[in-house]
Amino acid sequence: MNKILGIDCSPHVNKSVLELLGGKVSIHNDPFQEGMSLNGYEMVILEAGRDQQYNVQQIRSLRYASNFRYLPIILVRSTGNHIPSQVYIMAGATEVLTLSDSPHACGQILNGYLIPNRKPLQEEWEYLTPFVKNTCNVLETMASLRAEFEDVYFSNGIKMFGDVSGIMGLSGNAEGTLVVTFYWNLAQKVIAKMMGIEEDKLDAELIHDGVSEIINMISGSTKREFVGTPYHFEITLPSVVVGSGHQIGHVHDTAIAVLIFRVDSQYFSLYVSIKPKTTT
Amino acid sequence: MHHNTYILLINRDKRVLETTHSTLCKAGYLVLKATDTDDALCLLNAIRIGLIICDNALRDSTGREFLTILKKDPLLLSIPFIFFVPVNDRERASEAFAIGASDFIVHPLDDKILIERIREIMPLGPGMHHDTTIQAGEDTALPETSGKVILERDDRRESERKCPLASVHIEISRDGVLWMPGQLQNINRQGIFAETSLLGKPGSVLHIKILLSDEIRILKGSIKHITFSNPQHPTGIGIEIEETQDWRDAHEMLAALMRTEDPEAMDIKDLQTDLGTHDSINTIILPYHKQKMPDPSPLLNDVGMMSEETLDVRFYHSLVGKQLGNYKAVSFIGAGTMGGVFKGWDVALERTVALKVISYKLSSHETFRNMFIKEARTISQLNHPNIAHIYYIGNMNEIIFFAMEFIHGKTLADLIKEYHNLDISRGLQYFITVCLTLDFVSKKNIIHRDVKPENIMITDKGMLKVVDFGVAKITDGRTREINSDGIVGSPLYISPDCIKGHSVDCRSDIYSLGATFYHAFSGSPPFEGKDTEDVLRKHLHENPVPLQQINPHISHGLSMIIRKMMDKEPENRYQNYQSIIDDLEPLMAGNTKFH
Repeated sequence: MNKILGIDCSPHVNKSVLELLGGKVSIHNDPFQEGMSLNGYEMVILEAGRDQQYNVQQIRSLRYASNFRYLPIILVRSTGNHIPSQVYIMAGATEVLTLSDSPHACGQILNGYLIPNRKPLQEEWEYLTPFVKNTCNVLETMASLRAEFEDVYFSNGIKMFGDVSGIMGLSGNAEGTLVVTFYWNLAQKVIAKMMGIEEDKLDAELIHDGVSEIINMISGSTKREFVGTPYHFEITLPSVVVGSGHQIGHVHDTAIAVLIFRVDSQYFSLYVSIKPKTTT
Repeated sequence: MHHNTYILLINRDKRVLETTHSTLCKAGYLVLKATDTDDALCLLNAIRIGLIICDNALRDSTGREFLTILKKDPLLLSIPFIFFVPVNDRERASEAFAIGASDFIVHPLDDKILIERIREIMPLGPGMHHDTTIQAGEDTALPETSGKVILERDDRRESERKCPLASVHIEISRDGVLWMPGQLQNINRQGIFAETSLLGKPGSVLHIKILLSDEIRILKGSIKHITFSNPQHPTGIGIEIEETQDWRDAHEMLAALMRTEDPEAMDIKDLQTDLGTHDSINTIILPYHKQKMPDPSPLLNDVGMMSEETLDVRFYHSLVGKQLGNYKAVSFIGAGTMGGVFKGWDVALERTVALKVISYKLSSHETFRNMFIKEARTISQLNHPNIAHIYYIGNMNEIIFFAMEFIHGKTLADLIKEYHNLDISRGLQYFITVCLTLDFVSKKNIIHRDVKPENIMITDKGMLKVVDFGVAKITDGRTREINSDGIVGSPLYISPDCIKGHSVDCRSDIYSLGATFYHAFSGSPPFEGKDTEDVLRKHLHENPVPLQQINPHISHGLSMIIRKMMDKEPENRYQNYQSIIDDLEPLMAGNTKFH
């Protein structure tokens, strides 16, 4: 039975969600709190209140608490209104459902998100493993930090919910996108260690240089391992982006792997979307 | 800025509120009042606000807290925010800048000075009357902090005020591929000052796209200085732009925008207005890999992605990266009228498959669900070299899907897009092959019901495959099947009998096949319309333009074959595929000789 966390959900929303999912889930209800634990839940249902700003804040907070792991956050509205769901999606909601929409569609969407995630195929591990190894190596050698690979899942888009992200376009034989995204505290810690200075001395230039260097090193070292394989790519100029809730396009018909790493008790993620020129 | 944009005044002190309100109204502005954040947010959600003037002391909160809320809201953060600061509390002004205020005004303040300051930020539109002669300034200088990175924002009153330029859309890129949206804050002859999420450092080379009404200017520049407070706020960057004619022209237009009292009269496209929303830095979907630098395609051509996606597409997206039974959904290929298709992987047999998930609209009907499962099992036993095999049909969490042969190649629809219309000789070969295939299918008493260019594939090795029997129907071969499932098929190719809900047999597929090859040989479908209903109406009541009129290379014979296939009455169409093949083969021979 799937475990769902219902946040600020009215009895009406609880009942509706249970009906949509055919009663095959257990919903645990809690009021919203900053920093609430989401461990053990496979989905979060948040009922939209009248205060849009507060809902956006709640979603941001929940997305942060998910620590980059796969956790569908579904905002449920009792009735449709004029506020576009994009506002909530960019704050970190996975889906915004309105109970006045087709119940069958809502049920299928919720069911879809509850279906177990797939593991990478053998051929996907072939290109993901070097990224995992080199990401850990880069943090070890550049910042003397031990990064552990925690998990991988596949996403339907490159949506960056970290505070600072480094983006590298891949071109050449294989094309794609590589994105590393950190929460602010970990970014500061890593960059300060890389640069050998105190965290409070970091400025925009150092952050830019540090994140650029990390994504450059990860892609550069992995690129060398792919020489002579269908995954061999060329790297472009890295871009560094601040703020959460950015989404970038990706190569059509290509899987987007989200690799999650842990440094002590903090997390960061690496998006890998790569399409070899010739598919087999 | 729109001429009927309002100023929102927020102050706990009703006396100050009334006085300021009266002053601004007399100066020609449209002004709204609020004493607390609740009222202010209601007004912000309901009415287009172009400027906020807010005191720190509000009835339910503080101005700083209110500003913090606004700056976290993608819809509202771009609205210029002016802080009212008591004369003895200027310290608060620099704090306000750190969280994103555009400017501050010290009160008590002389009315004339107040109006001057407001005019600089928000010139009067054409719908507002003028009783002063103060004009918006032009060419406000960029902050002279060359080569420095500023972590805390200082008093920026003279240098970084919000201005009508905020409505001009720009994008900024490091590599010319990934474009980040930005908000233009100020210009001078040397360059621009903009807010963006793209971080850089002094000296970094940037590309800047400026969207004008009918063109895009792509300029090159380098970062002169950066202001950055924390990751929750966009970075402010001063960019020195290379002196080119393009920049001189763009600068002239932008400067004119600042001078004009009617910014909309300038030919600058206000994308925010077009979108009906204040798109902010964080809410734009960035077209990576889709927008190459030399391509002057409209900026934000992916804004469509931001609009509400259909429930069907959202449903398919929920399945990306999932495992349905023995099948992994590897990547999403696309959505059709009947379902969404994924590239999949068969875990048990270790082979690539195409996974088709049935649209919720179809699977929500129990009768259809049952029929679909029963019939897909039968169809899976079809064994023909030109039919993509169905391997498996499954149901997981009430989601119906089937796995079928994955074909590396292109659809007939892709070929039509690529070549506009098909080479006649090659088209005839495909036409005959599909007829032979559907002849085999019809002899098994099966109707495909979704014959269209997207469901005819040509493999990399040149083999033709008819795919997607997901909505196929089995008949008893004697009576004509009553179409109890409602309208099934794709509007551009659907037969009139199917639209009417009449009984269907292979002649319904023959109509759709005629429409498919009409499209293939002419480059456009037989009927197009403003919406689905319009297209369906034309299928019922109008004749398509004769094929020969659209493509003069088509022989009269081929044009007549397709016309007969598309007759409104099934009785007047070809009654079986063999008779079509009999008529096509002589044309094929003629074309072979011709070529």
